[in-house]
Amino acid sequence: MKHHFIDRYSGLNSLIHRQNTKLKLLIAIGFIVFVISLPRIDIQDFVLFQIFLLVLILLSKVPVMHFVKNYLVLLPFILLAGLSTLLSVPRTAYRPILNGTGLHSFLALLARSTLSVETIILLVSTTRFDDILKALRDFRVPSLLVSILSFIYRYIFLIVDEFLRTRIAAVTRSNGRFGPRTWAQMASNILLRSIERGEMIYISMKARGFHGEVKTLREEVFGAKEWFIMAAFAATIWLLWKI
Amino acid sequence: MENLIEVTDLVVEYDDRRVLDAISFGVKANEMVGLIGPNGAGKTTLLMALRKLIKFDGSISYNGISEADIGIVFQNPDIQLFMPTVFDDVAFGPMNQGLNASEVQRRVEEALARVGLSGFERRQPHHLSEGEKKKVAIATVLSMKPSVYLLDEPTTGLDPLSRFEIGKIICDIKGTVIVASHDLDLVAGLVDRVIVLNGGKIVADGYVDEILADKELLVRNRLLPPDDIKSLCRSSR
Repeated sequence: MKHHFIDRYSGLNSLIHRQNTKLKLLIAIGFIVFVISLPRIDIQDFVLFQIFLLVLILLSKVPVMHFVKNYLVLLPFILLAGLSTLLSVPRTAYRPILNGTGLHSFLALLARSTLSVETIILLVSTTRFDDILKALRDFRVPSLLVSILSFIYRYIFLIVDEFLRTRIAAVTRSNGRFGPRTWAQMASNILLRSIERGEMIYISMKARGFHGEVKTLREEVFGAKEWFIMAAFAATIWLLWKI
Repeated sequence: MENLIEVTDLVVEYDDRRVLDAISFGVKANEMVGLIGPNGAGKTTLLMALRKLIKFDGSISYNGISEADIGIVFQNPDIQLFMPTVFDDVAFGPMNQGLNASEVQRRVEEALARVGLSGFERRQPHHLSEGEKKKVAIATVLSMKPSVYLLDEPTTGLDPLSRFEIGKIICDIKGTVIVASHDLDLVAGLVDRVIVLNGGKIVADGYVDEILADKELLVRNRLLPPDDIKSLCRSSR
């Protein structure tokens, strides 16, 4: 079974795809931190940032629908997180009510989350995941953390594959009775198999000389060009915010 | 000539089940040995024990080599390939051997060329076909240049051409090779010596042509069906 979840479009060739991974990672993180930590974000800021992101998305050649679909997947989580701000309790009230402050902070949260999510999707759609891992290693992110991410990326496909196959096998034999019990058994089955597989993978790593640290070769260099692009990007964001 | 690997009274137990039962044999340097036996005979366990990856009783001694000189290719390539790209996976062993960047690069290119997959460096293992995965799995060990290769079921689940190609790759391996398989045609084409394993014990150990000609031995050890599979039931139903 073939499926692409995270980096379906990361193999395209566009201006954005060709940029240095560390540069893209720094800009993405910087932009998200900036958007989140702005003291206030009004509709004009949001629209300007949104237009700016749209330009980048169009430059990346990644279909806009890809962003929409992925965003819709994440939207329920954002809304759930926003619920608490929407129903914020003023000190004078006894029970949660809808009020102006609550609505405003809810919209602000929605705006910040939307921009952040789009940035993340843009990053992973224009950068190969292994390059991101390499950049994280270069940024001295703890190697254990990077290794865990690397294994999640490598094996999420297999687990989903296994899940889909098990589901088909269960459905074809369930005679229409596919209830929570079957789901639970399927989940435990997959968990057990994952544990077994994990042990075997560890043995296979040890057999190739693994001693606790995953080593890879480094290739990309962060040069003057990258510093320049980063400065230009920061200046543009600053200007958009100041308009 | 003294044996490169000497196994004496090897016993492996999982929980209370004895998977290998007092096995003894030796393998000479540059020998290519076939390890055949039905499912559950203990072939995989024996390979893992030979590399000292699992606990065992008895003794396994190496003559002039260490564990690090023994490469093992597992049956399931999804266990062998755990890195995000083919390059990273083939480079994993050489990197752990402490080789420098240019040497690692050279080893990866060479190993991928030997399995006919040059240019696959940036591919992701989960997007490869089963045959390609098996070849990359072999490359991950070729790149380490070990003295001994332990190959577990290298051709299971492959189409006839991939099976043939893998056979050719194994032929070209320089060094000592132990191939565990129940693909008798492959074994016949590769090795001179065959060890038959069943129920955790060595049932036979000898010259390939003699063992493969002993139909009774093969049937008894579930390596050959009692009747020709082509005469199953067609036209009789």
